[in-house]
Amino acid sequence: MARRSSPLFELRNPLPRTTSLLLGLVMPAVVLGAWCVASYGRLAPPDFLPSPSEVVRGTLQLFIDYDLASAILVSTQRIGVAFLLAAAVALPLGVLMGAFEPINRLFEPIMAPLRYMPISAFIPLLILWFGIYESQKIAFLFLGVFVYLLPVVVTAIRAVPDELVQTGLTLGASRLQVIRTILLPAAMPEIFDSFRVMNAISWTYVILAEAINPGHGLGYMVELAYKHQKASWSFAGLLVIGGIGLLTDLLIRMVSGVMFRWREKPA
Amino acid sequence: MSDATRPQPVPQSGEPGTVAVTVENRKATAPPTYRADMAGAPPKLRVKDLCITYIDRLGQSTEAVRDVSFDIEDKPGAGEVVVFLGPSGCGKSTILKAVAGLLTPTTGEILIDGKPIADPGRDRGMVFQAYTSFGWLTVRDNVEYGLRLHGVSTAERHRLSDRYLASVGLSDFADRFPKDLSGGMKQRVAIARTLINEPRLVLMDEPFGALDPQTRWGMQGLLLDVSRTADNTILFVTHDVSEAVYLADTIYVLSARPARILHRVDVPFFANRDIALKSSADFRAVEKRLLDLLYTPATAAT
Repeated sequence: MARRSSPLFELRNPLPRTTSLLLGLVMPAVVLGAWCVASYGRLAPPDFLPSPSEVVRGTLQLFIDYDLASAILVSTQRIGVAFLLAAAVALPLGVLMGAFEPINRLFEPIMAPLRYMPISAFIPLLILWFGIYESQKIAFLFLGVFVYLLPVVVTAIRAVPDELVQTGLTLGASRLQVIRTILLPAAMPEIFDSFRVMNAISWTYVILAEAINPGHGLGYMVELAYKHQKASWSFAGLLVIGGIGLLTDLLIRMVSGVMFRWREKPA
Repeated sequence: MSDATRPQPVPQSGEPGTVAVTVENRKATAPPTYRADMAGAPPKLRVKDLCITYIDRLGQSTEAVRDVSFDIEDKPGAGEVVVFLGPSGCGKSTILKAVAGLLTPTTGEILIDGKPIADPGRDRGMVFQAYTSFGWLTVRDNVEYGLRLHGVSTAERHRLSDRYLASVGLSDFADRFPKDLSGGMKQRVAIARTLINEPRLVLMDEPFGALDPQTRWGMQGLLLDVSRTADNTILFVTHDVSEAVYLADTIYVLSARPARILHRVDVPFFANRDIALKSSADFRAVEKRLLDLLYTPATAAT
């Protein structure tokens, strides 16, 4: 045999840069093309499937007439506050649970079942407890992030090799110093990686949270589209949320790349 | 130096004990051997009747160490390497971890300078086979880790880390992160990081086990250099006979699990250890004797 058939399909082989770029454009182009054909070609009624230009117009409408920008800001703020609160509880608790078995045994029995409960089923309870305004939305997002973040922290702390801990101890570190100077920094990249997933979860939950008594925020925009039966606004809302998701994801990855420059590259 | 002047290392086991390789000038420059009762000072390390049995969650017990007793005398100004040589999985690392204070003996005593050990501490630094460089710290910060915990000033830390980085040949890598280092270099970081604390004992658990042979030889030479220039007592665990003979002043030959001390062998090559030694007839003779000891039926029987 002279040459192997196709280098592109070598198992787990990285692609050349341009090939990779071009391949990445194929499916978006196909979807966009199909969308254009279906909408401009009148294959689907415009109420069902607005054309791309309709969606662009709808987006602009939302931005100009309905202040979409501040809706984005409000939703982002809610996510930010809920995330900070969740991290403020989940980080210390998770670190202690990962480091000290008694603490883990104490909390695990109530944390484990929580993970299997559908988070949206908490909404009625949260309305009962927190009302229908801001605190209810924050509480809901908090719960969504917390339930996910806590086990990530515990697992990341546990995954730190014993030898690192033992090295610290034999270099004179106290237990608390080992936690602060070894367990936490060693576990941080993995915890930070999970922020990407939590970011995605948050943008889903925020719409759910804001669908209750929609005063403002992106959920309100989605609600508005539903009330007016405007498919173009629904599309606009989805695209905007997707775009924000991608942007924040990129941001997290960039911050992670800078913060964890020291990290070993996977072989 | 005859064995009569040395403390009897294996008082409990009743085994034949010392198989000395008698060569004159064992330690031309070393001070006379101290004995606890002679010098009035307690031994640097005394391990007495050490037994360690693991019990797992199902209640299954595994005896890892049985009746291990030995002393390492305090010989100020003279570095010393004591090697525990035994088959893989025999429990020799368990002895080391007990001395480090990382696990509690089932029965028996471990005394440092006459005082029972409690928790792990900076007086017993440990180097592992697994790479333990702290990835988030630069090479220099890794080496300075113990000093920083101990509240040593920045200037003093730098002065010391410069010295120790130089002694392990990593001066040019001070500001790099461990991800840029080879396995051998990572172990050099670990060695410098341990030695800078000036521990009473350096505990090394097959530190070169994961390295390729050439790097390994280099590291053995480096370890001899740093251990001779400083006042370090090294307790070194390995299953590599050649490594044991090359590094050790004293070798304890251990049985298969549960680990017991079968023999004590004093190695005569103090002053002249270089790479050529490994191919000399004397070296080979000691190696062969150890191999014989390791693979006699007595070793297999537990």
